[in-house]
Amino acid sequence: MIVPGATPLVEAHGLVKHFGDGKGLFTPQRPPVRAVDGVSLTINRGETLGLVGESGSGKSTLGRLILRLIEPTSGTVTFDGQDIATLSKSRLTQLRKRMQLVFQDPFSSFNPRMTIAQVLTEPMLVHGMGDRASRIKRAKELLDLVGLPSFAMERYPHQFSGGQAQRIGIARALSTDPDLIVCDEAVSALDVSVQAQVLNLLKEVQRELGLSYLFIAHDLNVVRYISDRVCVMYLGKLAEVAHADDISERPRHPYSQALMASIPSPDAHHELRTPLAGEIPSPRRPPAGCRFHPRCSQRIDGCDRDEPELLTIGSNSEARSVACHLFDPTSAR
Amino acid sequence: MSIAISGTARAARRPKTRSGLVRFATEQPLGAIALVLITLFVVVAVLAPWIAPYDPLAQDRVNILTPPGVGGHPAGTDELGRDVLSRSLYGARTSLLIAVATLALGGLIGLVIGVVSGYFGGTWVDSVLQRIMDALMAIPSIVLLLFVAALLGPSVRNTVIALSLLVIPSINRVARGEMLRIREEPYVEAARSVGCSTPRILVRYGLPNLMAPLFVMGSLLFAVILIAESALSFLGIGTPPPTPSWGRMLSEGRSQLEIAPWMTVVPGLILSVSVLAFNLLGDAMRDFLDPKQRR
Amino acid sequence: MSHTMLRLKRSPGRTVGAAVAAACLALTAACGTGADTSGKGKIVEDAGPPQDGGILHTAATTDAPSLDIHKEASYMTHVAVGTVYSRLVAPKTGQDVEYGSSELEGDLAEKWSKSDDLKTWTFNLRQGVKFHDKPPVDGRELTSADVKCTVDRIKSLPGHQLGLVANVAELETPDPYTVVFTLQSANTAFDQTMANPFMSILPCEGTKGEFDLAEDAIGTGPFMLKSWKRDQERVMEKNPDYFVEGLPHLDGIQTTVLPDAQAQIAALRSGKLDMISSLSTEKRQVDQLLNQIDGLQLRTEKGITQTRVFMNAAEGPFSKLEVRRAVAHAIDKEGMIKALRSGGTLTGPITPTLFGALPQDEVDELLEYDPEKAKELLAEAGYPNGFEADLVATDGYGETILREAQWIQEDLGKIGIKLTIDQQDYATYVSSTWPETKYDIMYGLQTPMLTADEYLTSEYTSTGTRNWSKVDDPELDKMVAAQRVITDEAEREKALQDIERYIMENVSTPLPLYAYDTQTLYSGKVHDYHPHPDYSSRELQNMWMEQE
Repeated sequence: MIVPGATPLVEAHGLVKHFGDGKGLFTPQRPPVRAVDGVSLTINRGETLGLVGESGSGKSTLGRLILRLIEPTSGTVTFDGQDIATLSKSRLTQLRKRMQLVFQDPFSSFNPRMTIAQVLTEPMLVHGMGDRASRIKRAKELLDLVGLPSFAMERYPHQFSGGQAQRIGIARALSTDPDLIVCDEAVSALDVSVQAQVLNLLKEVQRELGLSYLFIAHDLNVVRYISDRVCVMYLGKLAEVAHADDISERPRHPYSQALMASIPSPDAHHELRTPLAGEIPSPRRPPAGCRFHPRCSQRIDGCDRDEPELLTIGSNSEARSVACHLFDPTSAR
Repeated sequence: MSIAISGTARAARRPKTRSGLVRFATEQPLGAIALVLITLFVVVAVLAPWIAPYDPLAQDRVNILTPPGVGGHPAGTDELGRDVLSRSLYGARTSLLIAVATLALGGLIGLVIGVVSGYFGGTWVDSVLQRIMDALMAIPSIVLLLFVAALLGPSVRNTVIALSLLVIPSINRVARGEMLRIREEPYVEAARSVGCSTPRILVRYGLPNLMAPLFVMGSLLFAVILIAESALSFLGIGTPPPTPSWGRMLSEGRSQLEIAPWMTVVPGLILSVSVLAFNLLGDAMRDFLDPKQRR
Repeated sequence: MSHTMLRLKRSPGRTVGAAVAAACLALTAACGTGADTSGKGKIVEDAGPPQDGGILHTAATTDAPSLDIHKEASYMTHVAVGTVYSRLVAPKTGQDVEYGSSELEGDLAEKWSKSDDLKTWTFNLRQGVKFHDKPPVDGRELTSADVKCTVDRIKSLPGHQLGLVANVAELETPDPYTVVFTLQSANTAFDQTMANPFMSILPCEGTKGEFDLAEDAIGTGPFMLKSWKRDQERVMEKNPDYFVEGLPHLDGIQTTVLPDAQAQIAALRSGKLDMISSLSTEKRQVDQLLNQIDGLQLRTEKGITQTRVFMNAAEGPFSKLEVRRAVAHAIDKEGMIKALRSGGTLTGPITPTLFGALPQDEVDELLEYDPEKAKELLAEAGYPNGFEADLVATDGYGETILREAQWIQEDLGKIGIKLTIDQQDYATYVSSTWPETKYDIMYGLQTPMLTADEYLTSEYTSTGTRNWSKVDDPELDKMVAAQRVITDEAEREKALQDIERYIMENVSTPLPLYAYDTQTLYSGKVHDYHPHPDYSSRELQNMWMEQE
């Protein structure tokens, strides 16, 4: 439930992350991997912002930049009005309480040697919340919230199925009562039937607790199901940002269109749009001009020279942002 | 909104289970035999004061250099009339004491250095620590051992110190390698995202997941220590007289080899079997814990 | 004098038969030849006339640190170069000479005489004695000037030999073949002093530094030093111009440095060595070798090296006389000899073979094994429950010493003195712990000295050069000084015996336990080997080897 008019929970401006920029003495002199190359976005309170893109688009990196698990090469991130880059170590640790991460592979995100009880109580312990008894109590409550029986407390992670383990991951993320949860491909490793259950759980929890999510995935279908707004990311930059319904019904950016086209649909009304040709280029050497232009079927003159900016088009309920020369009134046709 | 736990999880197994031992025995029969031998070794070492027929230092001056069976000495006597069997049994005690102390001291130091280096791999912390380790490893172990032991003089304490220097680089290598791997595991990232401090991560996430390869290394090192301690004592710079130690007994028996071979054969045999057992156990554990065979 | 004792006795004395005969005499019964009944190890005495030629291969457990007999205190040095030099007079050796006899014969001196007041001694040198033909001496004739050079050098350097000539007030050389010593105080046995291996005569070129005495030895002795590879081997060759006609018989001597006793035994077995007397060779092992090697000869010499318990008389628990006396009675010495050595004799400060030693039965009584008495003495000293201490020992003398240390540890443990063995390396032991008295109690050896006076003066007087047990007894000092001037032999003997008794009853440190017999094994080819306790090996000039 989005609180209208409230200040955004997260604001990211011009985030850039380059890996391997040859600073070390023995690093081979190659162009750095430009994982995130200038991204700005906002996450509102109570909102689920979807972030979709192919592998190699930089979406996971972006998620971690927002949580400050990685340091940005440049750009800022504000959380609840505070610039998280300037925080001291101890303040940052305190901040971690309020933003959590749910991983793609639930099993590898747990210490195989810790019981579920330990897994769930550890975040509370680290942040000095309550005493042992109250933490255990809360852990059981969390298990209940995600739909698992309390005797799971003594079990070890490997004793559960994928879906159950992911629920535990969500329970852990909830244990510190955060404001933001970043779900990084949280359902991608699950069977389709289980995916639906977990997605529903996420929605339910959000409704109950008023959380914000940054939902990262490569499957647009899943993303639009759970998100309020969706960002489409390509090769380190945002291609399009729009409401979930709008993205589905009227994708503007050729890339968004291609993504939608690739979703199998029983609805025969949709025209077959042009499918996506080729592979995503290397983030070390992004194409000149619009990064998508080599694979774009709607290329025009100038796409290979100038990078399009993310511009807002339309208004109010139809407002969206697109980075494409096709929609740039100033670019030549 | 509760969902029943799936069937596989219902089998309620713990990671280290009794069935794990059974599984080990069936998959690694040699290792199981070795484990039995080692248990025997430890039992003998601990219970030596009760099961040894004589005081290992007592000089039965009536029966000097007597062969096995004569004068009530089942394995014969040495050149001061001391019972060879009792000394061999106590030798296990000496060896166990020294090996445990060495693994504790050297293992602890190696572990700390390895874990810290591994977690901070690539930074100056790692570089500095590993350069020190490299320097230590560059000296051939025999030379290092002799130098340190001769410098410090024969005593149990000094033997432990000298032997620890052998142990530290090996443990360090294992700990660091594993830590480098663990560092990349998602659960470490999860721990950081939860807000865990570095020391907490090292202790709760690093150490418990290192244990398996460390045990393997530990067993193999045990064998190395047994031999190295014997070598030092043989050369007269390990344990001081009249401590019963297998190495010393081998040395003392050397000049009597033709006259009283039992002085050398009995401790030598026990030493060989012990070393073999620890090596077998280490190998078996390594095979058993091979991740390729894991789920 | 000497610090190292590794290559103990290269100079066996008696034949087996003679030793047993002496023992039989002591027991009053007359015995037969008493050679060991199996016939093995028998010394072949009558092998015909000596043959010239052959190289003797021997082994040394430790090499000499340097060849300078004045600057180097180690007795290894004398072992190494003893055959290179000659002295004014030397102990007699030969088939008919008793081992350890102090009978002298002229070496460089043809004859010698003393004044009535025993203060002036004149030595008349042989003529035509040539130094070895090696530069820079080049085979010139030895004269009295060389004697003067040598004595002057001795006086200018510290060391045991300084004590030997301390009494010399003046040395005159009226002509090239006469040397006259004028002593400060009378000395009946000055000629004995001149027979000491430390009194080897060096060429003036050496004392003046024209060649390095530490690296080379040029003398007038039966053998010349051909080459020396430190810690590897020493090679000597026959001196063709030796002043004794017809000697030496051997063409040369080659000594390999082999620290490991087992290696020496193996070399003996394979025929690479002709002779060994390594410290750790044991009776049982010797018996085995005798069975295995054809024609091997065994020479057992009555002990002249003392095993010692050194106790610190100045501080610590052993500074009390009763404690030291307790130690003397607490150790089962006969048991030690039987278990750990091939034979030996209990001894007081003066080895039984030397002039002035107490009769054996008195020594045995003074050193009687009596643990009860020991405990009483300990209680008298104020330690009824004993005490703890460290027993220092070194592995530099070989395994046997460590075994004996453990034996002593056990014996003293039985009367309440709990010892922990502090095993030190030889270098620390000999250069620091011993001379600086950094011990409470220590077990080790003492290189045999050749006269009673040497032992007494150096070790038991308060100003002695080797008083490393911190003995300080003014009465004893007086007694030792007094005996030196007694001319009457019987009177002197009694004086020495009184001193020995006094030391055993009132000083008791260093405490000798026994002098152990040593065993030399040599191949059947070697003959006419009649060593003397003097470790310069001059007797090698008489040795010959059967040629095939």
